[in-house]
Amino acid sequence: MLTCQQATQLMSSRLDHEMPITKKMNLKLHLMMCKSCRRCDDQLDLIHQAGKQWYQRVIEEQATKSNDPEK
Amino acid sequence: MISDYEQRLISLRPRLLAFARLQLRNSDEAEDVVQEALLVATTNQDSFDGRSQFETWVFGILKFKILDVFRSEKRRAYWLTDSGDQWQDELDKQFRENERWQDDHRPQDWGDPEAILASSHFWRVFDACMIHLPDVPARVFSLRELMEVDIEEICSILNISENNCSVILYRARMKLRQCLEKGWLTEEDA
Repeated sequence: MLTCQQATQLMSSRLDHEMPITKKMNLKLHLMMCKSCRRCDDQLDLIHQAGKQWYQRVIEEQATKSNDPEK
Repeated sequence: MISDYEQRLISLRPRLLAFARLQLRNSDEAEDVVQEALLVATTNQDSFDGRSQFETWVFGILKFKILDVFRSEKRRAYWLTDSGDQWQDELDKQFRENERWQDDHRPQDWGDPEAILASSHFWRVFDACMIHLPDVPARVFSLRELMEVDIEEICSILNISENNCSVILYRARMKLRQCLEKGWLTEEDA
């Protein structure tokens, strides 16, 4: 059985590469039973998405400013 | 006489600089790298095929130049010198001795993810938290999450082991989570 700390480490590492099936199952099992870790997992996932959007936002912010004379 | 093309580049400069500063966390190096990127964009005007968005193209050049800085051997030791273990201790304090969450560090409900990402308040908190990350995790996190470089490439660019890289990323993400939670939940009305 994973501890919460171990579970958070797996959450992070699965954002970087494919995880072996046993680790995946262990994490899934832990998440089913632990609300705090489920939230943490959702939040790390959100941070991952935010990172991608951040770059796009930086580019688009400029595009709107320089290409849109209406604003 | 400044051409329209140059004018577009000049108006892009502040954003490029902000981006480079966040990645490199060093103003002089950020200035240098933006100058180099602008020079490439100016001299290679013909290679911009017009299919990609102009901004995306220039930012692409900047990304490439930033990666070059990370690759340069003599900077590596400096890139990877951590300021101390203090922030790592802070992270470990989130868990009890049996490695379960401390009651007062349990992750809270942030609400709907789509609403979060659409909120300008969230992005202000995100930027502030990025700035507060210590340099080493911030650089590795930027490479991985903001510039979307995959982990194998980061390891090879920085010449560190994948395990080391994973640990740094883990700590950066957890620290950012902690900071975002504080900022996002407490100042929501502001």
